[in-house]
Amino acid sequence: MTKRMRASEDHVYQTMGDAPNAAADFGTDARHPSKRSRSGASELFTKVVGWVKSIFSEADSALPERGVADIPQDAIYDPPPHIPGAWPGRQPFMSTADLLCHSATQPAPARLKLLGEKSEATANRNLSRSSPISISSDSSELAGPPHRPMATTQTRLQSMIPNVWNNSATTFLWARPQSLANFNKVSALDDRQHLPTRSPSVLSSRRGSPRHRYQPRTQPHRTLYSPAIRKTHARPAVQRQRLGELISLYSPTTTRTRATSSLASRDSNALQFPLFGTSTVASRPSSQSLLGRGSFAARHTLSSHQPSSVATPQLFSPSPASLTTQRLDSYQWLSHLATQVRSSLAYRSPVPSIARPETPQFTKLLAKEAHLNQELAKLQVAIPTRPTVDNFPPLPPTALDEIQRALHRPLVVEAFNIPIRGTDLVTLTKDQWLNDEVINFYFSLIVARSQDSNHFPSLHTFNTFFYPKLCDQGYRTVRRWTKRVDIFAKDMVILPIHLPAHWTCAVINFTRKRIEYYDSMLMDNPTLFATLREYLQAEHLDKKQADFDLSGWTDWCPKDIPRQYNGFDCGVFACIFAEFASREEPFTFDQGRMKYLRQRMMYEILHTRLLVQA
Amino acid sequence: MSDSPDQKPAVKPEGSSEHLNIKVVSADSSEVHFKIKRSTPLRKLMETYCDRTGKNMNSVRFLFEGNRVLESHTPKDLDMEDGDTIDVMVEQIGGQ
Repeated sequence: MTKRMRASEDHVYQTMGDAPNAAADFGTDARHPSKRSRSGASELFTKVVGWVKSIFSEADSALPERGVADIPQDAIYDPPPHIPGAWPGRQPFMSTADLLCHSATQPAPARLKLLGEKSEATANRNLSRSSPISISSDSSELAGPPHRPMATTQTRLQSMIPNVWNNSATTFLWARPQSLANFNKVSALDDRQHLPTRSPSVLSSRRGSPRHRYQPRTQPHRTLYSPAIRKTHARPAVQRQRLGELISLYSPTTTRTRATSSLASRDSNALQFPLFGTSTVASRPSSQSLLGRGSFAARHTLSSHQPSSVATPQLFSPSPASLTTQRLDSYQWLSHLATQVRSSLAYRSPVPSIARPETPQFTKLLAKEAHLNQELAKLQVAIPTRPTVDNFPPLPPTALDEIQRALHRPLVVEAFNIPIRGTDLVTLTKDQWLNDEVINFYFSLIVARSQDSNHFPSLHTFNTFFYPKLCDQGYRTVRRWTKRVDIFAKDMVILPIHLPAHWTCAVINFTRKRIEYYDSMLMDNPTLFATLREYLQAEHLDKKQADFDLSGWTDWCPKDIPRQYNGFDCGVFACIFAEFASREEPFTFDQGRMKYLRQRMMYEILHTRLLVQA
Repeated sequence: MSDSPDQKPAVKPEGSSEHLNIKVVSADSSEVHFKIKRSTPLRKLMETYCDRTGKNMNSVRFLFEGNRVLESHTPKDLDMEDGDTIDVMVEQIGGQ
């Protein structure tokens, strides 16, 4: 152990150029005259501690004496009520490793103070256990046997000794090169030297913790090297925020951004640093969390009688030179800190907020959506309100009896120059093929309905012989079929199409400029489209003496229409296709309704009126 | 075919004539000529045609200018003129 201490002493001496002088001066602390005599257990410890105290004594002399020795033991577990993350059992705001990161940027005396302070603060293993990477735990491990002579002295000084030694033995291994590199640099950056320093008496406020025992770690520590730790940013956001506060307090000129953001997110207490007493301490949770348990204890004892900050002075002690040259009292220091915070906030304010990022693509999409909504609103207005009708009205109870009686009559009904005999009506019974009389009669019923109502498109129809005659004998033979009608003045022409042993329906839709073809067998009929196009042109040329403009006309042969699943319902399908198309109604019927539709067609033919009316 | 519209102006003056030459054309383009009075119902013409061609009256459809010709119709009812054509179509059935 002596060898270790000697090695650590050498490190200390190498790290701090003025260490011999400080060691020579270690016995000059007038306020602790008994320390030197009672610390005879280890001369090296005494030297180190004396050196530390020589640094702190200057700052201490600027402050009144504090009674920090009698800290209630339960007070250290009293969490700061306004800091949710500061409970000792939870993730600390700043682990020892974090503190080492800061100490590395400081000259050696300040770093030593930091380390000693941190070690003291985290002497209870709560913080060190909860910290994923903590040097202090290794420090206690390296401290050797659980029974340390220093723990028995029960003095403030001896309570500091192992902490200083522990940290020096472990952390200076990595801290040395950086400290050598940073010492002169940081000393040159003495713009922070006007920051005040405060008493280190907090450090020695606590006695040796009973928890500060030898507790070998079950797992080797991941790393002892703080530079790697410094790069570790995978810590909770809250902790990172607290870290930002701490860094801002420590070096407000270099890490202003994070500090400002964290400070800005806090309540107004952050701007009330010039206040004294408890409120001052309470508004600075980062310093408490940094110092951990010891600082909590100090807060409880100090907040009642001293208008000062407890822990931050150690963080702000930049170099030995500043300790001797410049001192500010607490009010000046807090005022300066508040000024810096305000300036930091003012510096951040002109920065454009990220709440409104530049998103041209998103803005474009929003504009497109608005445009589409407007177009949709126009279309919705343009659609005429169609009367809601029942596409499948129920038949009267007496309908079947009427039909049954009519089937045996020679002549059931005669309308549209079409005599419907009983034998024609029989074709509408179950499983029968429909003949041309029924088809033509039903199509004529559809046209008659559109003539009687203003809600339906105007219609014209040709009988079932039109299309075969047009195909076989040409337009000349059907030229006079339209002697009394102008089909171009109609909205649509519905055509029953008779193919060999098959009925389909074609619609010449002048409104939609398309020729529609509905085949319950879903077969194509390209000849039909060509024939009807030729007919339209010939008809227009004959009646209007002008060519018909077929530009924009399309052939409409959908395949998602109701389909026939037997060999005898095609006539019914054709009629119902025409009936729905004449109302521009979607085809909502299917094969399952054929029985009802056959009965309905018979009923409608009997009464010469369609059931579905406007 | 024989339905010649250019003859119409020539035919018109004989509107006072009692008899009309009517041509009945079947789907296979076979023609049968008839001469009937304007006031005579066309049932006689239709029955005669079915007798000559051996067809059933209920299985054929007589069309004039796309309209059905019923037995009770007269040429006068249908505004028939001399030389007009009556189409004879065979009953159509379909199911598949």
